[in-house]
Amino acid sequence: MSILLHNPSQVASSLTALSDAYGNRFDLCIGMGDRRQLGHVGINVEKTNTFPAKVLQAKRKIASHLHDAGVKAMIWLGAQGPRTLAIARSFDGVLLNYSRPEMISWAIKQMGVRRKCGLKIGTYSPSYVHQRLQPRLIRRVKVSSAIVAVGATSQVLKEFGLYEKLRKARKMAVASPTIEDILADVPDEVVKNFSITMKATNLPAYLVELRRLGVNHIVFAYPQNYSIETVMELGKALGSRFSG
Amino acid sequence: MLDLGVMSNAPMSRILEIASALERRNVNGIWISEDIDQGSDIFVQASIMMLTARTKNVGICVTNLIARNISTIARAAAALREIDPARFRLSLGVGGLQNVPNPELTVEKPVAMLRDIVDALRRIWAGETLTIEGETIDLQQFLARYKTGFSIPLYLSMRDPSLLRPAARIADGVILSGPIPYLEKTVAILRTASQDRWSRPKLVFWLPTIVIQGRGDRRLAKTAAAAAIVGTPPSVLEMAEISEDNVMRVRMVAQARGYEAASGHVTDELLNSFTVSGDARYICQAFQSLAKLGADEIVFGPPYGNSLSRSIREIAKAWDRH
Repeated sequence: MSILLHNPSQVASSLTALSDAYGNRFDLCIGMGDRRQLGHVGINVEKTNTFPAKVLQAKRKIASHLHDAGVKAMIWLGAQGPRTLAIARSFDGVLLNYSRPEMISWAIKQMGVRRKCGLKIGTYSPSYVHQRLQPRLIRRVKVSSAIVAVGATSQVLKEFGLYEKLRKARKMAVASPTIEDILADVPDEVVKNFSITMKATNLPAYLVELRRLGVNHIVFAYPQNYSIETVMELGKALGSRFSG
Repeated sequence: MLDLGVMSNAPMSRILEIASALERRNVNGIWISEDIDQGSDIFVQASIMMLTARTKNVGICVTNLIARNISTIARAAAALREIDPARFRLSLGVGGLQNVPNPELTVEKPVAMLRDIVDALRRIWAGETLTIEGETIDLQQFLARYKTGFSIPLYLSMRDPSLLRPAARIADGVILSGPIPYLEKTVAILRTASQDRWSRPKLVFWLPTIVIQGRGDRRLAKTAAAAAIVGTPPSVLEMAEISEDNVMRVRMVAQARGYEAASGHVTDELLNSFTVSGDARYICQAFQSLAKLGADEIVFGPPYGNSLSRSIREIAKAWDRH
């Protein structure tokens, strides 16, 4: 949940309601949110240097509310840029908005944490792990990847040689209500850089690589949940991995 | 039609108990009203209610409009509608905001604010791209990223008489609470204000209701009346022809020592004006009178009575007999 869109009391009260009804089985991830979409709803995030302090303050307030309500939940930080990554150790875990192993490795270095510090490291990426490719889902995964790429900080894009390639798209995105309007100006390589898009047979090697980096939690985000079929395809890919 | 009512500060165990009772009884649905900055999130409560009472209507009265981004209200409501397009209703309220001791929540132009929010929500759900730079809304080329092209019944809940006419013109429904003589007058105002419309807004009456089965229930009823008296604006008292002198003592004691202490100063006349309380048969007769006034729905509770499940059971049975 974006702490710029929801105040700590609202975040805590949502989690409290869910936990009261269904038990202590919810985790919470807080972060800034997609800056382009925040701009559309009247929240200007031009200056991100104050964000780490804001998110830390929000985390403390939320933790205090949850403690008072007797709710037990892990609080994760949703992070991408170096300033936010630097405060990850104050959380129970960090969900990185990256999928490519080189980028994940870079992000972990930015956090400055040792391997066995107790911090859980996860990734949250647009995903399409498939056995039978559906072209329309490739477009959907490109849209989702473009949202992440266009919303990334300049520093991150420069680090990975994507700044110039995305310059036009980022400029146009400011005035476009949807990312689909600018999709033609988003290079196809954003899918490779910002999503888990691969054949099911390639998933085991990818998971081994992430585990080697210290990642112990992976969220396969939209459009993997597009249909029961796409969820089943992922399930089968994971099933063969774990049974093997 | 008979609904149940609950405040968002009720513990989740009570919400679930009411949801379960709701599903078993011959009642239309439930309205949940938000207590500002108290209790659980009202949208989450509504989703739990919709999933538990699977055949009943669920409405929420959101009062904390300023602390929420309009896009968040639109999206959360859209998600609830997705559970069942026919069962969800959204009500917006500004009635309590003037009484909140938080300058950030003060509403200077409640009529304009309500009109802007209602208009923006309808256009977001219709799938329009919106740019609005208003006092309470700031959207820049905003387009909802979920499936649009639908509407959700929008109700307005208020006690300020100055909001009645605009509400009658723009809302799909109006939720009213207050002394019974006030309700009688508001119906006439609403009818006149909405006579140019193709269909008049639905009317929902919501008064504190208590099934009296013992001395404890009577004390509970008087405490509920004290709370209602304290929350009633002077303009409403004036319309109800209730003298300020009659309620002053209740207000003073409530402020100094709380509602329970103030309940000792609630006369029978005030009790009957501000609550519907008595045995189940009497309450249903009172509800019938309210229906004759023009109410499409009447909300039963809270505080219900000392035994929640027994009170709901008795009222539902008495309502069936009517």
